[in-house]
Amino acid sequence: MSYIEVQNVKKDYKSGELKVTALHDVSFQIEKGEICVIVGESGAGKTTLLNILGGMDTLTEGRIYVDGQEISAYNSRQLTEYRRKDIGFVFQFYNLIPNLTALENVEIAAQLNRNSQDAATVLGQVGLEHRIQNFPAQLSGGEQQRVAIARALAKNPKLLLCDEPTGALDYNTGKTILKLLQDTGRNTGMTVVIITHNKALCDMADRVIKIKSGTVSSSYINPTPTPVENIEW
Amino acid sequence: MNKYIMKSLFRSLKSSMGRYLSIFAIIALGVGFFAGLKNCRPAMVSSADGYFEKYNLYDLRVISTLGLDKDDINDFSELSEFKDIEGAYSETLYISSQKASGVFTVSTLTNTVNLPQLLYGQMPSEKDECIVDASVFGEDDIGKTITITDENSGESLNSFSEKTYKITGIAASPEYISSDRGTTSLGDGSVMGYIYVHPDSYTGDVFSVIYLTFSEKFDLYSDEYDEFSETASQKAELVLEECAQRRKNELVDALAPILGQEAAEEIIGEPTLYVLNRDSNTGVALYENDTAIVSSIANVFPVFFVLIAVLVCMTTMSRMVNDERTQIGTLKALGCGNVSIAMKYILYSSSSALFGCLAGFFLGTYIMPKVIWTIYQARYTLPDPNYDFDTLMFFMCIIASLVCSVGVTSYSCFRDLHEKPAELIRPKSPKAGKKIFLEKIGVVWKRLSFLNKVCLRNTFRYKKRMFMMLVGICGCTALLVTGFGLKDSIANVVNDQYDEIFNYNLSVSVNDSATQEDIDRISQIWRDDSEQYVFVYQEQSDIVSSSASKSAYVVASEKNSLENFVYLHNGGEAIAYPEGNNAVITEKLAENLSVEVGDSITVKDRQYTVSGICDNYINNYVYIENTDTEVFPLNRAYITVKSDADMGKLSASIRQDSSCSSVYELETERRQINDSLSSMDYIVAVVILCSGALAFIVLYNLTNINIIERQREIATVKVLGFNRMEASSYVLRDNIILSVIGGIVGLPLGKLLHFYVMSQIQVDMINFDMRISVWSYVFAISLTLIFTLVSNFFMNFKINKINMSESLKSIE
Repeated sequence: MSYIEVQNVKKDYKSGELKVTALHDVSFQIEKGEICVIVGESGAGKTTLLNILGGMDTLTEGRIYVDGQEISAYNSRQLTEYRRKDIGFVFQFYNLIPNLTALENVEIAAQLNRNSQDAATVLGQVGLEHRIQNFPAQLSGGEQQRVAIARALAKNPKLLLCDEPTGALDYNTGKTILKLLQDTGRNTGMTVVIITHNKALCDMADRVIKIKSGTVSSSYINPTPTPVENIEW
Repeated sequence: MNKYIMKSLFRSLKSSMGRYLSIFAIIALGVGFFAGLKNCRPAMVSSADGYFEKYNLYDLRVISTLGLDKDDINDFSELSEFKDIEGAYSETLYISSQKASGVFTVSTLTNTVNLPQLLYGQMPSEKDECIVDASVFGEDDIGKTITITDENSGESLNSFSEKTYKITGIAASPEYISSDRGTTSLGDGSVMGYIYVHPDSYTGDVFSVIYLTFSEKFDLYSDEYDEFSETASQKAELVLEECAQRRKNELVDALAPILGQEAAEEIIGEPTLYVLNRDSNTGVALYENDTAIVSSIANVFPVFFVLIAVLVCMTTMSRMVNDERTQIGTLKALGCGNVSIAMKYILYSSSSALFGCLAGFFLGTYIMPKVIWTIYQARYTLPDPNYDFDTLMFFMCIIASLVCSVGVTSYSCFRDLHEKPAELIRPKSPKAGKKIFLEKIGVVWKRLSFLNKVCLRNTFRYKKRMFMMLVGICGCTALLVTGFGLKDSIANVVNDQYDEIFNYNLSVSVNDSATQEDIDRISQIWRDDSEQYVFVYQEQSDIVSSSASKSAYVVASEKNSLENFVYLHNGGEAIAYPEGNNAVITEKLAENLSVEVGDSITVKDRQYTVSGICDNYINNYVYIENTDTEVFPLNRAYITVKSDADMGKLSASIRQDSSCSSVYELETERRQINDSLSSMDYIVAVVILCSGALAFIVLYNLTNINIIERQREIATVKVLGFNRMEASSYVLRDNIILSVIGGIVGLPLGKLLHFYVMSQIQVDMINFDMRISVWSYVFAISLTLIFTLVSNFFMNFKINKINMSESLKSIE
């Protein structure tokens, strides 16, 4: 079995009488240590997939295994535990807590887990050792996203889930953030999943999964991932 | 554009009913409390005023020791100040009846002034009929009789043609609205009740009193009334002096042929004259005092609610404007004027405030006086108050609510509206984090857990909200301390009086004429049933100091005899029992006479030096050594009855003795006073409800806003893996911290409020002890915390409901 197994996942949303199928017949695998890009237009069902993978939502049918555990069978308490221990989340809008310094924003995640890394060290790894005492409002967008990545990495997750990590950033900053993600994956062997609408990012991935109209339209392994600095869009 | 505004307004209304209702509720509560409590005093006063008017209570009564006659009435009627003038004869007499025996005030019925209110039965139509006091007699006593006993002096017995009267009715009197029935020189000085007899049964030709009412009508207890009363009294005094002089001359002329001019003048003597206004009526004066208590509470309590109403209205509206920032920016970009954009929010808040004001005003003016009235009803024989709506107050409330809601809304709107549309469409950058003061104190900061640090910083992040929360919580605790403190200060004094100060449980007064044999005989009755007893002199008398005169009970005991019966102490320290020319007086009396230890006072024309001031809560006493039983005859026995004796049976057999004039069981007195003070329980209950409401409104509103503002943050920490408990405490721990701080600040504030309210309460008979027990502080702060925890409990659900996908949404 692969590190991440998604089997025949279906997700319906009900609002009153109306039933909307957001995902259907979604199946794919991701191996440990891979950098995977999930790409699709807006409305294709990316966010729903992300919610389910990240343990923020449950599914209607199908199964999902992460590292041999069937997370689709988890109850809400187990899902909380899963988010706490196994998932590192990077948001499009960083979602730093405005009232905490960069260091504290990392600490808040780190203190949730026993085998977390030291917050200051992780911030050093993302190149922010000199800004650790600053509040989010005093940081640029790129710097804030670095803090968010550090926050996700600090708890040594099994899976780094990134939702449009460059969506709110300019071209160059976006590129450095992606580089950071790619390097992190390469250097630490962490499984990284990047969700984006930007097809150009497919080139940086080990594995590409294309989503269209709520299902996987194609998926392939990229045997020769391009370093981020060589990608243009 | 108008159409758009209305449409948009109704949409906002529909989608944010909770917000609309919260403004409505807070304004309703604020206005309800303010208008309601403010209306209590007027409602109470108008109830009494209406009653006095209906039964035509006198405004003045004039008394001359030589009596007054019909010519005098004619003289008074020449003054334009008076309307109804009528004379009556009234005397305190020993009365016996099946129900009660003792001293009663017997008066002739009047036709125009001072009419009794007949509760049951009929008015007397024959000269051997009477109506009696409803506080002593009941409906079942109609048809029974009362008798003027032979104990009365011959002169008194001759005043009335009948000795036995048939009770035809039970009545209340506007002259006696409280339980006080006045004093007398007979017996122990207290009067049990009143009796009105048919005027024909009076055999004399002079009145003892003339009742007068003013020709002009003023509101009860108003300054205009007092002014008019003063002028009228002065004029009445002049007339009264002339009348008395004329009366004296007539009497002298009648006696002169027999005794000679000089002897006649000497016998008649100079008359003592009184012109008494309503202030001399205990019931009327006590009632004024009680209405003052209510109005002092009305001045304190609503302040918090009004303050909170303004603050809540302000945060709610600035929140709304902030929420719809993008919409405002879009409208502005489309070319809408500032005023028409702002109009929507102004209409939103002002309509909500207006409805709140209407609901609050009408409910408040009806409910509050009703609640307060149930508390006082037990103590006064007055009809239910009218729930008058005060038009001036009404418009004041409306204008205040409108000004407040429109003001705070315009402020919030225009603060944003002067920004350029482009700025408005972009979201407001979140409030930057800041280090708080505490972080500078490294020692403390380092010891805190990480989450506590976060929470502390959050607490101090929004100054406005923190301030409001503190005001609300602080007010809640302070009101609770005041409420519990009122109970401590008022209710406990009775128990202290009868448990700590008086160590006897039965008190028997004997006739002034009792001889030593009588006393020996009567003592035999209780000898076997008592542990100990002592005879003392006790009588009400005027005590005079250099600056004032006040009536009090004089207790004269023989040396070393009182120690086991009355514990004289001040605070925890015992006071030496007075000897020789020393006197120990009670605290309230010392205050009223403004004397201190070492000052001198006059008791029964004798000089005494105050050697001690003792704790005492009910009535006023002067304790002296009894050195002369001629002046201070032993007329009262203090008895400690054995615990296994039958108190009722014993009292009854003592009453049968001819020398006994009355028997008091202290336990009965304690129960009666406790009953009348039980109104405090209701006051405390009202206070607890109010403070609870205050705490919940503040906590609910502010926490709600806090949660809405931090939705994204809460969703994010949930994604990070915070469990339910952690996520709730991440937000709600602030409330607990602020409750603790607010509670602690509220305690001393409550002490101050309590002091203020207590200082407004002045009753001569009872010396309230200005104290708040430790338990009251503990209860106040615990209740405040409980209110916070309950509110947090409900807020938990709200936090649990926040969807984690909020964290993924783009910033609008």
